[in-house]
Amino acid sequence: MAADGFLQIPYVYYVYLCLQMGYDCVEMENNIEAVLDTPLQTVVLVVVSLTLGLLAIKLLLILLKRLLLVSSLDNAIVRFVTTSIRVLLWVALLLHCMQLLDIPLGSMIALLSAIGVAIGLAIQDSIANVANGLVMIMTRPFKVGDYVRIGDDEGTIEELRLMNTVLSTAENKKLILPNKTVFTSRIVNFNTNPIRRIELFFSVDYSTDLDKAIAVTEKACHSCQTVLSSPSPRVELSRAAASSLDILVWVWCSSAEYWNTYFAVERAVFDAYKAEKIEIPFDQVTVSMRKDSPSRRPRTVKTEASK
Amino acid sequence: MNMEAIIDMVMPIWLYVRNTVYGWFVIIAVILMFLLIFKCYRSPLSIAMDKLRKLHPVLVRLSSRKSVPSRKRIRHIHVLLVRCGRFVQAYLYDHPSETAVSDAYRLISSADRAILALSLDSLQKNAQASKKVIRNAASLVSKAIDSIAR
Repeated sequence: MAADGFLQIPYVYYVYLCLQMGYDCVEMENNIEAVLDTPLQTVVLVVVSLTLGLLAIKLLLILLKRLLLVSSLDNAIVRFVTTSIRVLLWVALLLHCMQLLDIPLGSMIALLSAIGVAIGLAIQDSIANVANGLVMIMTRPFKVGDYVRIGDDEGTIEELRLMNTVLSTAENKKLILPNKTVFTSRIVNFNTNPIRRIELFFSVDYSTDLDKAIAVTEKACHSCQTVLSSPSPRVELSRAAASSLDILVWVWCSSAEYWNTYFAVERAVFDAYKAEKIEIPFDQVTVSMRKDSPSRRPRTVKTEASK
Repeated sequence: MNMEAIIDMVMPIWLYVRNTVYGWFVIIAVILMFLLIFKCYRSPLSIAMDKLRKLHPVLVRLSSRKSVPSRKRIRHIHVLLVRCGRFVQAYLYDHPSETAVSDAYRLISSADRAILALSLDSLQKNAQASKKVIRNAASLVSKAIDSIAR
């Protein structure tokens, strides 16, 4: 094939590529010549097949996407499946058109395979993210809207993508974590169970009637609307600390109402202690003097008058 | 170049490609038929909007009843809300910058969690609390409808 003028440079590069790949350049040249000598009707046939084929693929994918949406498959998997099927159908259409042009497919497929291996090695981290993303979507350790801790990061799941997971932190920052990191980290999901237990500590003075303090605390917990009666709240003496008696409170609430319940119980117990005059002590230190301690030498300070 | 010459040039090409074109037209016609059957001409957002509009009066009616809805009813509403959420999410994938639709998706998820909480034993025994939860879910659905309509 005579490569003239500006075609020489890509032609030389094409020959270099063929030699590197170990393909027979002469055979490839003959194939390209055959394409260029194709009669007009075959070219029209290929153009018509390509156009109508692309239209058919687009319509088929719209249908497929709608059918998969109605199914129970996750949306991220639906997108992955439709994208994969789109690529496969495009490749099939391209191979069909190449067959119409009488281009032998064997060498082309071998070349594509080699390029595929090179690309796969280059983007292996991205592929790991996609693979981990697929596993996460299928195993569902969390779903959109759950509040989770992934490693040291905490936030509400905004979006589950194939390559990464998007969290919205309490400070309203968007955190984008690669799925490989998410999959290999420790995940704590605060929303999996419909109810959660809140643990609170309240301190009362040592002089307080303990039974009364516990009764008042229990009553205050029950007065909060979001505290569940089953499992019922538990109030016990946790420890006799240095300055106070520490009372432990366990209350249960629905996961969605966790913080509302937390603040409501804190406030209700504080108000109840105030109403019943139960003292909440400050930190105190008791100092005791020992009678048998050796007396220290009295210190005298000479003043002007004593001189 | 007169018409006869053009037709003489085009006819052999048409005869050559005719069967292929007919074949592709048949395939496209079959796909179009299935698209019409499954109503794929409608946007997923409009389907979600219709479902939410039908659900809202149901929730309002349930919140005014004295008894707690049965678990089967709760499950049915939950499945409906999940489906609406999926349609809205599918729309969001193609239009990620639409904040109003994103808000609607969050509201639908919150309504779904509220409805799921109704299946707890403590709420099943407490008609008053469950009425509040259903009312809350109805208000969330109403806000979601307004967000999508914006």
